[in-house]
Amino acid sequence: MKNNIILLPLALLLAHGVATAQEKKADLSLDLKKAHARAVMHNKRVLVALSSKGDDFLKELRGNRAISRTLRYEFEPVAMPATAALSAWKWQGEGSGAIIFSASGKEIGRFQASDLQGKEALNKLKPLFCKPVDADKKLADALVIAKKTGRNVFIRFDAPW
Amino acid sequence: MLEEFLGRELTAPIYNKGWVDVMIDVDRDTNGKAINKRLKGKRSGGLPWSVILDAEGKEIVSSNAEPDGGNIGGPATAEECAWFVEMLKRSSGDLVTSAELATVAKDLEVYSAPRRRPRRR
Repeated sequence: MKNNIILLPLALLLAHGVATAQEKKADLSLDLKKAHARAVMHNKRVLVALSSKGDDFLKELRGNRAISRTLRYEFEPVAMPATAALSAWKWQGEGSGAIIFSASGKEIGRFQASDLQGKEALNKLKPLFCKPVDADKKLADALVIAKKTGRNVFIRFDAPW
Repeated sequence: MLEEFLGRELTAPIYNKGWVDVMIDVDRDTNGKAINKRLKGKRSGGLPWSVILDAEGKEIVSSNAEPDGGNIGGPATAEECAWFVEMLKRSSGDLVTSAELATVAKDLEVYSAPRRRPRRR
């Protein structure tokens, strides 16, 4: 009985720990899902920044002046611990880095942290940018759908900044 | 902000039922700036700016609130939210019921209220 009483708080603590880890995993998955949805809407790529050993690789990337604007304009960034990518995307080792996905979820590039330092980072990321979309075509397509479905067209003008 | 709201669980199905959504990035989309200029004309306000067109491309209503004409942008204040709902009312046609519009209005209030800055005295 005494042992049970001693073990109860430990069991509760472990159960809490498991729940928290599951919640975190679910949060990461939701973040990724949202990033992909935004990438589809805004014609961007998804950049998963993998951090290890207490680093914040996304913060580091955002602090790189050579690519801070590029990150905002061309990518939907998601921060994750590198350990989360070990099995999901066969990330080699536990170092920081980034994996780039198309909006549809296809991997199109991966880099170790050392590849994305200084000005070199822009050279590495530039070939992965989406091709620009023609707004005239977007609008024309929407009007065709509107005619077919009897709906009106809600146009939202915005910018990445 | 507006995009996040339009994607909410309660609002998204109603919005998609009544309107075809188009997002134009004036900086990155080819001809984005030109279309913005063409549709907005000399009206005031920056981004985000919205306009609702019928299927023929004719304007029904814009985010320049009447009667003053200020752009509501991403609606946050009570007045901005009221104009946003008015935009939907004027353009909902027969596809969206008044009960559904009321649902969107309520959802907008739930979404916007915590984001409002306290007024300065």
